[in-house]
Amino acid sequence: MKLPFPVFTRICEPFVRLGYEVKDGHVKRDMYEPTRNDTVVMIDIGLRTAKIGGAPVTIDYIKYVRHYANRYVTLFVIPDSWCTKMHVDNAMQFIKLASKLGNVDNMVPIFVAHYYLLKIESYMEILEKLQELFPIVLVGITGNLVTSSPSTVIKCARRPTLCNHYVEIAVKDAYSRGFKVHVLGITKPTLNYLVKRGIYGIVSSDTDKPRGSGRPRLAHRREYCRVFKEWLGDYEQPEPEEWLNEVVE
Amino acid sequence: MNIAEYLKVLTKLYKDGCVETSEFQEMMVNKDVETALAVLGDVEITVRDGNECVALNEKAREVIEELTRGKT
Repeated sequence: MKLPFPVFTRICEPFVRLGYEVKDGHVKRDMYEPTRNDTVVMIDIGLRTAKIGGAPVTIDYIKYVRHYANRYVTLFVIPDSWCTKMHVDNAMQFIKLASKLGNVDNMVPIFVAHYYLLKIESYMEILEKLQELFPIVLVGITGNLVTSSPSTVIKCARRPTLCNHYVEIAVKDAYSRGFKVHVLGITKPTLNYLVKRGIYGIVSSDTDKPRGSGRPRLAHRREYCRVFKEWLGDYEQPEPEEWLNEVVE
Repeated sequence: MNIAEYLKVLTKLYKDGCVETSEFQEMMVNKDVETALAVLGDVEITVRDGNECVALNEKAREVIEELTRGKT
């Protein structure tokens, strides 16, 4: 069965997820040059970085995104943080820097809406400013550790039903506000639920699960992508071109 | 929130036994259901009269019964 939206993951073309992490002041960038011309890239700073405080928006990060956007459609997370103040400051800083960029046609920012139901009204100004700068803006909703409120995190592996319903209502709400959604760190039960329910408004997702769940880190691309295919099961990724047409609709 | 408030939030779910998906999602939007469930238990999908609905799981019901013993 063909998925209605792709699942980006590490180095498995055509939907490749790359990491840009800041650890103890040092930047670690995944460097991977795709072999297919129709590859779509997604860049994320990762859950760990966001949880421990986030990474500031820097020219270096924008250059990294630009490197891929020069050749490929590139989705990228605006560096997020579980700390609301830092999260909002980062977004505003990003908007300031992005307003000086030239061609942004290939760049698709993802603004992660932590604490969605509590904060969405206050995020609207940021989202509208982003819409003035970029042709497509996605709302990011967490799908692994759901940040539903500053005091509550729903672990989707432990509470799949609650997690699925939370993701569903956040997606529906975002769509009703004119935004499409990227589900960050989607779990297989949530993917199954969203596909089964045929929920409209999700355009993409990502996972790094094939290397988790007790498996040792899979260093080799071929091995990782084989395990990812197993993880997908009966699902097939959509074709990039068809998918892009739907995203821009 | 304290325990009494968590219980208040989950009362409808507890008393009705099972609510429709859309109703449950409405509750999540309007009330802090996910926070209460994070403390007291979880929900599960079940079937009533042939229709899929959302109910508190057994653990959540046990916790609520324990907390409300002698108070209801």
